[in-house]
Amino acid sequence: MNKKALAALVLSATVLAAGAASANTMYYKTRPTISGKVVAHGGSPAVAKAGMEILLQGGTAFDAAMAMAAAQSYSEVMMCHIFGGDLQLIGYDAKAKKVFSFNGTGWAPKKSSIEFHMEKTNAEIPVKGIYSMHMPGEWSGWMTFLAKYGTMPLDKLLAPAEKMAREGIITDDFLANMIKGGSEGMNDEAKAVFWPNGEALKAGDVYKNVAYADLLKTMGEVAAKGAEGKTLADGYKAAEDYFYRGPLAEEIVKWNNENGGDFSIEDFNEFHAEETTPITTNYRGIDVYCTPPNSQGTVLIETLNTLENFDLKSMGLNSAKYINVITQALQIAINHRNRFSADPRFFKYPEGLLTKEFGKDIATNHIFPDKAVEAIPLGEEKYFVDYNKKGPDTTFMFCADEAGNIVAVTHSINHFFGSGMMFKGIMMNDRRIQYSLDADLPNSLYPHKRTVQTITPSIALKNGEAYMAFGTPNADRQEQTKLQGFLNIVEFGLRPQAAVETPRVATDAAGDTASNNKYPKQISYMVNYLTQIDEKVIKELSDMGYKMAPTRNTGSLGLGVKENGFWSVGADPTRNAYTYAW
Amino acid sequence: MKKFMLALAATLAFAACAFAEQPALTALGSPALLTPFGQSQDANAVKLMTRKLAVDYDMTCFADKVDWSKYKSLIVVLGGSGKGLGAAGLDIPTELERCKNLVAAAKEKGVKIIAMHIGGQDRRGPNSEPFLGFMGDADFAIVRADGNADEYFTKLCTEKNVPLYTIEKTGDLRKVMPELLK
Repeated sequence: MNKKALAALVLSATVLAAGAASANTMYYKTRPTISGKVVAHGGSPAVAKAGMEILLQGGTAFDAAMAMAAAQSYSEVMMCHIFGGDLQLIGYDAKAKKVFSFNGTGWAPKKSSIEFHMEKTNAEIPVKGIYSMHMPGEWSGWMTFLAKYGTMPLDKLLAPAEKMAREGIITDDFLANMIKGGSEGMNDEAKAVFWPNGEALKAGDVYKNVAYADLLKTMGEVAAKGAEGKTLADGYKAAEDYFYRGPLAEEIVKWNNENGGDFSIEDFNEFHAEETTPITTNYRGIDVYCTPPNSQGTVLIETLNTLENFDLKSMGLNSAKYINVITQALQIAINHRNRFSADPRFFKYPEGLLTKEFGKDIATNHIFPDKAVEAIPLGEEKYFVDYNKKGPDTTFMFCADEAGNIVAVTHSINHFFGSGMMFKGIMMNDRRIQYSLDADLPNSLYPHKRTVQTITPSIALKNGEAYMAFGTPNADRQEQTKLQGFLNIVEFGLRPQAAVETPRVATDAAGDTASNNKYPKQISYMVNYLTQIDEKVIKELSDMGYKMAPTRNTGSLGLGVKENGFWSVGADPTRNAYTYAW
Repeated sequence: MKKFMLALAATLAFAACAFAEQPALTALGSPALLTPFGQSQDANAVKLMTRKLAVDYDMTCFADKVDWSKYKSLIVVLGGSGKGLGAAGLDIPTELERCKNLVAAAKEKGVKIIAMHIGGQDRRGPNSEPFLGFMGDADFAIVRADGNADEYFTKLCTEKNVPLYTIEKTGDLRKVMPELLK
């Protein structure tokens, strides 16, 4: 071989080797991890933008969260509404070094009853319509939170959403698809917004909700008046009272009753959201916090306590053994949620179930890494012996500011477009369907009782400092998705975007908040990311006895990790999740 | 006299028709085993309606695992649900096999079968259709009127000689079931 040919051969080999090396370092994901000292992440770009506007004006994460939620109630109106839905909020006060939470779950109307639904709605709570809704608690949750943590006037916080709703934004593909498929049960006001002139809004059309914009303006004005000569907190209180103890409550009750519903003025007048104490556990040195019952945060806490007893890293991410173990752990925790969780004012969740001792007992005696189980175990009774009566379609966002404050929020009107009924721009929830009509279950329907919520945002601290914020929509799969995102970071060292885009699994076999399915041998696995779960793993799990079902939906995970003073955030491409960070 | 006799005959014929519309609620016995055929949540509604009666509820009981000596009746609630089938790890063919085996085992053991369809038009779609024919295997059938607007169940039960009781709303089961399960 002559020298020129040899040189060409060596050069070609070098180029090929360099190409192969760079290919080996490529992540199979659709978008980059976004990093910054300040972050606003939400289920859609409009939400992130609203948060960014407030943060750039000097607002805190606490202020930005309100702005983002108001915008989200417009851009993601099919999933949440600050006036028509429910709220679970968890935050970190950097100054006080304290994790806190707020519960803005509404409650069942005073006139509602199991008997009514057994007789009048064919023994089931309808998904759409006037009897699908309960009294929304979210606005009280926000005002109660801001009264303690807000630093800006309410009208400023609501301004970004008011502008969008009044002037309009472009309907995106996701919203357009939802409108096309979600018109069932819509009342005239909702149809006027989503089906103007009898045709569904299409991607690219301008989408407005002027009635919602007017209500936001009114609330801002009420708060401003309430704060005159007093404090911002007085202003937020005035806005809360306007909704629950003022003209808006009267209007909503009148509208509800005119449509055959069962709301009473007392449902609103007597309601107050509350600050709660997060539940927590330490997983391999990381303190993980979730909102407490009536949210389903117990599922994540209990599952982590169980999984800590396994060497998950050596099992390998998404190996058959790994998927089998986390599935069994999740099914047990979800089964406990269905069996014991309720409004804490009615039933106390057994604290024994959230202990590491119980987690170890479950791991040792009830989880079988190499085979599927025939039934979901409850565990030893001594851990829930103190269970007793005490006494009477969602989205996620989080933001962090330069001071280190964090707010993570999951709020929801339940199914897409909730009840389908809109009033004064408010998309009303269909949360009532989450109550059970079985009087023997703790989550049974009862007047002025709050249902078990699947909405559950989380925060984690490491060495007492902010470390992670994460959450997702998707009902009974929320904690399952959050768990896998968390483990992808903590056990397997993935970068946030990779952690979010690694295919997840989910099991529906433990049932939901209103009933109990108990068929353990079922796993759904995601197929819509660039990487897939290995076919061999699917086969191994099938051979164990699992029914494996492909799915395209296990939520829309948002996950941020604090590293070297910056937040690095992963945004799920399954829906329209988006992050601004700088 | 002739006119009187004609009038009497017409009255008797009318009365006969009126009483023939709903079959008598004969006691088929309890305890009963309740299960969905198709995995819809309609069976859950029946469970709620019968919670004060001797009824065991099992969403995925298989014929060879049932202790038939415990039961006098088998209550099957017809209606398919994709979500329910998925959560149970079943597909339509395997669920149909389960249902067929349960019917065969119940008949062999002399256990009476009560079949019901109470989900209205929502349970007349493609997921439900494969399970509707099981009503023809029952000893007694109950249908909610809005699910039988096309008289599908009426024709099936007439052909198979199954007494068919029609209810207007699911809540009516609270009057019907105690009589059937005596």
